[in-house]
Amino acid sequence: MIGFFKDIGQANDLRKENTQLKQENEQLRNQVTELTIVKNRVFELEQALNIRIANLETAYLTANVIGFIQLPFRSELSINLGSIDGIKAGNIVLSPQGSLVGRVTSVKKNYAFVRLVTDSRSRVASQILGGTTTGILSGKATRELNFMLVIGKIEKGDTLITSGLGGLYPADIPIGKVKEVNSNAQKTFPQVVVEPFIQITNLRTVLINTNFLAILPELSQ
Amino acid sequence: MIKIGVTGIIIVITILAQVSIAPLLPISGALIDTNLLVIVFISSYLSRKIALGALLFLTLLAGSITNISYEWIFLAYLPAILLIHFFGLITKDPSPHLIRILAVGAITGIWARILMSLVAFSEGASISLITVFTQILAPGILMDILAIAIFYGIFQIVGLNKSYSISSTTYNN
Repeated sequence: MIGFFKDIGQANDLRKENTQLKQENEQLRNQVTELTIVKNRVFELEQALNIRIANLETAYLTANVIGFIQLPFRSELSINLGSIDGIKAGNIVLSPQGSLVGRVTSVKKNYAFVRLVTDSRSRVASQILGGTTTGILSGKATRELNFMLVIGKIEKGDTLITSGLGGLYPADIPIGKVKEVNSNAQKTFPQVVVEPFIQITNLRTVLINTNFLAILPELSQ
Repeated sequence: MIKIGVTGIIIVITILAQVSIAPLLPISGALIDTNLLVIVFISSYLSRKIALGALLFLTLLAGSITNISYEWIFLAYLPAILLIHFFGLITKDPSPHLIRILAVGAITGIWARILMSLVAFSEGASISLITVFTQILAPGILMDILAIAIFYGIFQIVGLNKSYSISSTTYNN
C-alpha cells in the first residue's frame, strides 16, 4: 500500500521533470535557431567583405578509436581511418561533442595516429572564451594541461578555446576549463592548470575535420 | 615448438592489453608496463634464444601498433634479458628467484621509462627532472614491482617454477 502511494508520488515528480525538460528543450531549440541565423549572417557578411573565417561546410569523418598509446610524456590514439579514407597529417580531431582531441600526426594506409592535446609534445595557441587572455597550452604527464605564457586576466573556471594563431588548429574549438591558478609577484606568468573536456579513456569515436590542414613545417617541405 | 607458440600468443595479448586496458589504470603519469612484465618473465622462465625472439616479435608488433620507432622499443626492454643472464652467471643459479626478477623488473622499468622520456624530450616534450622522478619513475616502479610479485605468486600457485627445470637445461645453450 505504502509502495503504491510512493509510486504515485514518483509519477508526479516525473511529470514535473518531464514538463521542465520539455521547456528546456524548447529553449535550446530556439537558441539553436538563433545561432544558425547568426552564423548564416556572419557567413554572408564575410562573403560581402571578401573574407573567409566561418566555414559552414566543414567536412567531418567519423573514426573509431582502436588504441590508446600512453607512455611517459606521450599521449596518442590510433584510429581506424587512414590515407585511403582521405586522412592527412595535420587534420584536426574532435570529440563527438566538439571538444578538441588533437591532431593527426602520422597516417598509414588503413589507420592513423592522433597526438592528443594532453601529450607533452602538443602546443595549442589558446584564449579564454569571451575574453582576450591568450597563452599556449601544453600537455602534462598527468593528462592535464599547462596554460603557459598567459597574458591577461584568468580565473578558475574559465573556459579555454583555440585561438587559431599559428595555423596548427582552427579557432574557437573548446579545449577545457581552468582548474588551478597560481600567481605570485615573483613570477612573470601565472601557473595555470587546465582540465581538458575530453577524457581519453572514454573516447570510442572521434570526428576528423578533413577540411582543415595544420600548417606544419614538415608538411611544407 | 608449443612453448614458442604460447609465447607468441602471450605477447599478442600483452600488446593489446597495453593499448586497451593499461591506459584505464594510470597512477599519476605512469601506467603498468605489460610489455616489460612479459619480457621479464619470459627471460626468467625460458631460454635466452626464446627471450630474444620474443623481444623481436614484441618490438615488431608494438612498433606497428604504437607509432614508436622499433629501435627504442627494442632498446627499452633488452636490459631485462641481459640482466637475467648476468645475474644467472654471477650467482651460478639461473632459477627464477623473486628478488632477482623484482630487481630486473625495477631496473629495466626505470631504464625503459627514462629512455621513453628522453625520446619524448627529443621530440619536443617539455620535461622536468622532478616530474620524471615523482610522476613517472616512482609510481611506475611501484606498479612494476607489485605486478611482478602478483604474477610470480600466481606462477608459484600453478607450479610454473617447478616446471622451470625444463627450460633451465637450455639456459647455457
